[in-house]
Amino acid sequence: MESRIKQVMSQVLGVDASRIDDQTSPHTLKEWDSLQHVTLVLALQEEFGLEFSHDEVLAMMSFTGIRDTLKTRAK
Amino acid sequence: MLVNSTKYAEMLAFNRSWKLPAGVEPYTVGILSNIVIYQLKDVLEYALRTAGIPASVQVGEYDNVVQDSLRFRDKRLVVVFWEAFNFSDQLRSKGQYLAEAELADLLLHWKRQIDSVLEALSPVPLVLFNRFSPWAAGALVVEDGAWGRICRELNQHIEQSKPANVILVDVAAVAAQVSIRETFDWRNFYESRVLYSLNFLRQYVQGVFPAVAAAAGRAKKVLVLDCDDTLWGGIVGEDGVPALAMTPDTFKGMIFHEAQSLYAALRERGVLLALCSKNNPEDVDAVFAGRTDMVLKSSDLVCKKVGWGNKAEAIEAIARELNLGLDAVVFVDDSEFEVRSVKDMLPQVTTFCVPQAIQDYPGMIRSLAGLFFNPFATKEDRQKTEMYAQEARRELVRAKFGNMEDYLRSLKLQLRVMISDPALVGRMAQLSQKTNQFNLTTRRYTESQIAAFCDDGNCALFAVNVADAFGDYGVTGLAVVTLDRHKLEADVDTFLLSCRVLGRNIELVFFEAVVGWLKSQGIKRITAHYRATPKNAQVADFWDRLALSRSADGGSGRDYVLSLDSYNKQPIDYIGVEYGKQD
Repeated sequence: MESRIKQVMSQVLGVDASRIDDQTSPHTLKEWDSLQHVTLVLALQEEFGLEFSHDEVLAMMSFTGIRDTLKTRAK
Repeated sequence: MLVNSTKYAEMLAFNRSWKLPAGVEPYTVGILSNIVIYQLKDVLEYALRTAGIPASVQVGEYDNVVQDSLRFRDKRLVVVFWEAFNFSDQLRSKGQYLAEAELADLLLHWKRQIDSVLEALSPVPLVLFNRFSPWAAGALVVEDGAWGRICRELNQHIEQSKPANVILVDVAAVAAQVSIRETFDWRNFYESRVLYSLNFLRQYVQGVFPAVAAAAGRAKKVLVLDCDDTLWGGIVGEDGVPALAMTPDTFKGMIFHEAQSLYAALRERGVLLALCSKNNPEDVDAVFAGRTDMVLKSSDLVCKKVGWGNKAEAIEAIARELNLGLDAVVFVDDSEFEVRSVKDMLPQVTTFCVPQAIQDYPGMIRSLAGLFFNPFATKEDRQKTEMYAQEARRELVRAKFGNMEDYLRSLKLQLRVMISDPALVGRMAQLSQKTNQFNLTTRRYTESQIAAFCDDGNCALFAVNVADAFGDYGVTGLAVVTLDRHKLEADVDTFLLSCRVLGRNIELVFFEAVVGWLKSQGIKRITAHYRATPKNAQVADFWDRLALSRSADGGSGRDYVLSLDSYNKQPIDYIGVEYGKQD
């Protein structure tokens, strides 16, 4: 799952997947701005066949937030 | 279409790594909207670029439609995505039950805004304007709420005053295909004013694609059809001519009769029809000759490739003979094997397989007919099948003459020069947009610009219709000349000829007709220009050949002058000229 998340993030944000780790968030990655967050959420919904709630979208403001949200939904 | 099978993240990656090919003008697109819709930029760029249209899309600022329309006047395409539901926060909360007086005021206000946007966008060759739809506010079934009335009135207003460059887009039809539930993304709307789902935008782009492709000169033009179980039910080589189903007295016969009628209707609209079938040629000929219930006749077909060779090669040969790109070709066959192999070998060709559930076949043809939608089609486009047939007859005659002049003399060429004729605005704009090779200055003009030239007393538009003993080539040349009647001078702004009439010395006689008319207006001196492009090298010395004198020599072009008194007539006596009007 991590690699799929990283691939989507890399395609959406235009950064190499190797630059994405547990510390990655809009604070550490300038490409990840509020506009791109909307795009990223759309792309992740499509990739994982899910619809996120507003609270989930807020919780997804970091790589670990995305991973945890998807793990919870996968249960 | 690729937009349906590609994930959004992959589209973004593709768009990011895409580069505009060197020497190519981008196809510039602007999107105006009062909702957040930059995902449409991503999907549209992807769809157009993968179809070979070098699109560069710019999204206007959020809810700045009126002001941004002035910034987007130089775009090739503008999409106006105006969402009635988001006209104002106040309106949204009052919803369906707005007071009568308030409603009237708002309608007046919006109509004015719409008018000023359409006015600002008048130089843009194509404007896609979404019809207003009330469905974001909920679909009322029996009650006529305020939203329904707002949308209805605004739509009526646009329909009544719609300029020629505007095409209305039925977003409700797009929503119906996606389902209303999947059209709107409410979480995204209340978070960031993004209203439409990705699947809606995919369907939207697919729906408007034919109009955009036509405007970008990439319209589908030829439909290549298989025969057995595609034009008629049954296999001629096995079942024999009399057994084939095509008369509407049986289930299958009704379907194939309707299929042929639909194809014939496309041909009426100017689509070129060709056959590509694995059969003995005489078997197929026997069906056309022997079955009086064939709706399609042999004369409806621009060419036939019947034999046992590879279909991809046959399709390439058809495109070559018609001088069309493979991206203009649509192919229909009942064999999945043939469809797949054509798709693999010629990915630019759009392919369709006749459905196994044969009752779905007419519906499939109706939807593929949409691919040929071309609002920019002219009389010349619609007559193409006949023109190709004429060209084939000319080629036969040409082979008999050893000498070019004898051949040209035998053609009995006749020019009709029509001056500033408003009936020809569409064709003149099309010639200015599409002609690349025999085009001295390659200035592109829209219909509204050409219409303005027609009305301008200091401007003369010369359109030339060419005909010969074999038929009519249609309007195939254009000169745009501006006049300074005080100085007795004129400037040849544009001089072009369609490639279909080159090699006949028509350009010399056409220029002489222009000169003759200018002299009759008292003009003494003309200026003319050559502007180099990657495609017009063949006319680099055209003005030199006519003995105009060079007045300026620049890097990418040259300017010329000619005193009309010293102009020598060309020694060509085999091309007739008259001045007249379009039939």
